[in-house]
Amino acid sequence: MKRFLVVFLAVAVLVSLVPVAAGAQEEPRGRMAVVVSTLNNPWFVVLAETAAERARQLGYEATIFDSQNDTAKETEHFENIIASGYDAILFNPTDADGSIANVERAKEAGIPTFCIDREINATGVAVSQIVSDNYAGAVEIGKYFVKKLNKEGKYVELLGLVGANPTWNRSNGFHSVVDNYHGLEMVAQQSADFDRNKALEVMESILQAHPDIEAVFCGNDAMAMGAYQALVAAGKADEVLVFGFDGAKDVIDLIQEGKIAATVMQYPKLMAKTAAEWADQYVRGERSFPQKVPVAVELVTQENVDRFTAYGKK
Amino acid sequence: MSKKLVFAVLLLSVLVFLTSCKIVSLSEAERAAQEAQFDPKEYAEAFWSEKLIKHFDEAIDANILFEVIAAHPEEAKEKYSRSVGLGGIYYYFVRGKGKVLTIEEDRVGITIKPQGDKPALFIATDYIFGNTICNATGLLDRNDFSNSQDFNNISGELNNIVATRVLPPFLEEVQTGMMVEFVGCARIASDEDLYPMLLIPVSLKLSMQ
Repeated sequence: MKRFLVVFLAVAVLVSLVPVAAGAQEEPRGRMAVVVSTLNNPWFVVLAETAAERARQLGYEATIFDSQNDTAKETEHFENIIASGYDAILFNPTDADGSIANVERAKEAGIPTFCIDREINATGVAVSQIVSDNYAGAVEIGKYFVKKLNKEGKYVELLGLVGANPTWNRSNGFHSVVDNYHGLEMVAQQSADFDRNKALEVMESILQAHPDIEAVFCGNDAMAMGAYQALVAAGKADEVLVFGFDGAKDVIDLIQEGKIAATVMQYPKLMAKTAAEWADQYVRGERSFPQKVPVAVELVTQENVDRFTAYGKK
Repeated sequence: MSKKLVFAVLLLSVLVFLTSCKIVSLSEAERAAQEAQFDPKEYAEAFWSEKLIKHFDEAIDANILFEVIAAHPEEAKEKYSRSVGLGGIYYYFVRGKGKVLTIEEDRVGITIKPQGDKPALFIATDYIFGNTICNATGLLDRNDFSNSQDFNNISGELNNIVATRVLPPFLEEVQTGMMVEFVGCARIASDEDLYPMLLIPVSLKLSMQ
C-alpha cells in the first residue's frame, strides 16, 4: 500500500511537471488592431478580415475596428488602441489629411502604423503605406472608356469620398486620358461617397436632368452597382455603359454577363497580408520599410474577365 | 460704459473670432503651405531639363536588351528593369537606333536589326498617359511626395511635354526608311508587352541614315 502511494505520488508530480502537448495554447505574440474605414462595403470587409486573419496566423490577437467613414469615430478607436497598448495598427484611413493626427499619436505612443489601401498625406509618420496604384488603374480604364465610346458621347462621373486620396487619384487618372478627347462631354460630376445607396439616389437624380448620357464612370464598384440599379429602374441599362473600380464580386459577375463594361481589379488580400507580415517584422525588430508602396492593379473588361474572380485573379 | 456691457462686447468678440477662424496644428499649416507652393508643371519642366535629359545614357541599349530578353527573359528583367511596389508590373528605360518600317495611327514601328522586316518595337505617338516615364527612369521617387497626387500630376505634365514637344516635330518629318535615334520608356504588364515593345519616347532624332 505504502509502495503504491509512493509510486502514485511520484507519477502525479511528474505529470504536473510535464506540459500537456495536445491542446496546449501558446501565448499570443502580441496584438494587432485593424482599423478600417467602413464595414458597410464588402470590399473593405475582405480587406479587414484578410488583415486580421493573417495577423492571427502569425500568432497575434487581432481586433477589427470600424470607423464608419467618420474621422471622429476613427480617433476614438486610436485612443482605445493606444490606451490598450496594441503592438501594431493596420490602418485604412477615412481621410488623407484628417487621419494624420491619429497616426502621429500612435507613433508617439510607440505603436507602428501600416496604412492599407489608402494613404495619409504625410511621409515619415506611418511606417509604410501600401496602396493601390489608383492613378495607373484609372488611366487604363480611361483609355478603355475612350475606346468603348468611340471618343464621343455624354457621360457622368460619380466620385468617392472627397477626403480620400483614392477619389482624386482615380478621377485625375481618368481625366488625364478622357479630357484629351473633346467629343467626350462630362455632363455631371458628383460625389456618392463610395456608397451604393447614395450612388443610386444621385444617379436617379442625374438621369432626370440628363436622360441622354451614354456612360457613367464610378470611382468604386459599390457606386457602379448603385448607378447600374438606377439605370435598370430607368430602363436604360442597355444604353448606358457602366465603369467601376475595385474588382468586387457583384461587378465581376455583371461584367461576365455583359451588363457592366469594366472595372479595375485591386488586390485587397495582397495589401492586407503584406501589411500584417510587415507589422510582424516590425515587432520582431525590422525597421527598414519603403514609405509608399504602390500595388499594381489591372483592367477587367468583358474581353478578359474570365481571368479574374472577385478581389483577385483565378 | 457698464462693466456688464464691456464684458458682453468682449465675449461677443471672442465668439466671433473663434467661429471665423479655423485653428490648425502647426504641422497641418506647414503641409498646407507646401501644397500651396507646389506647381507640377514647373516641377516637370525643371525635372525634364535639369535631370531627365542628362540621364539618357543610363538607358539600356535596345540591342543588348532584346538579345537578353530573347535568351533569358528573367535575367533581362532582373538586370535591366525597374519594379515599383508590388504586383509584377515592371519598366524598361531603353535607347537605340533603328529604321522606321511602319507609320500607324498611334505608333511608329521600328526595326533595330540592319535587315529587319518586322518592328521589334513601336514608338507611341498617341495615348501618352500614366507614370511610365517616372517609373522607368527611376529618377523620381514617389516617397518624396507626401500626397501621391503630386507625383501623378508631375507624370501628367511630363506626358504633356512628350505630346507637345517631342512628338510633333517627329511626326511632321518621319517617313518609312528613315533612321531614328530614340530614348524611351516601356511598361511591361505581361509577356505580351515584350514582343513588340511599346516605348513612350522622351527623345527622338531622325536622319536619313
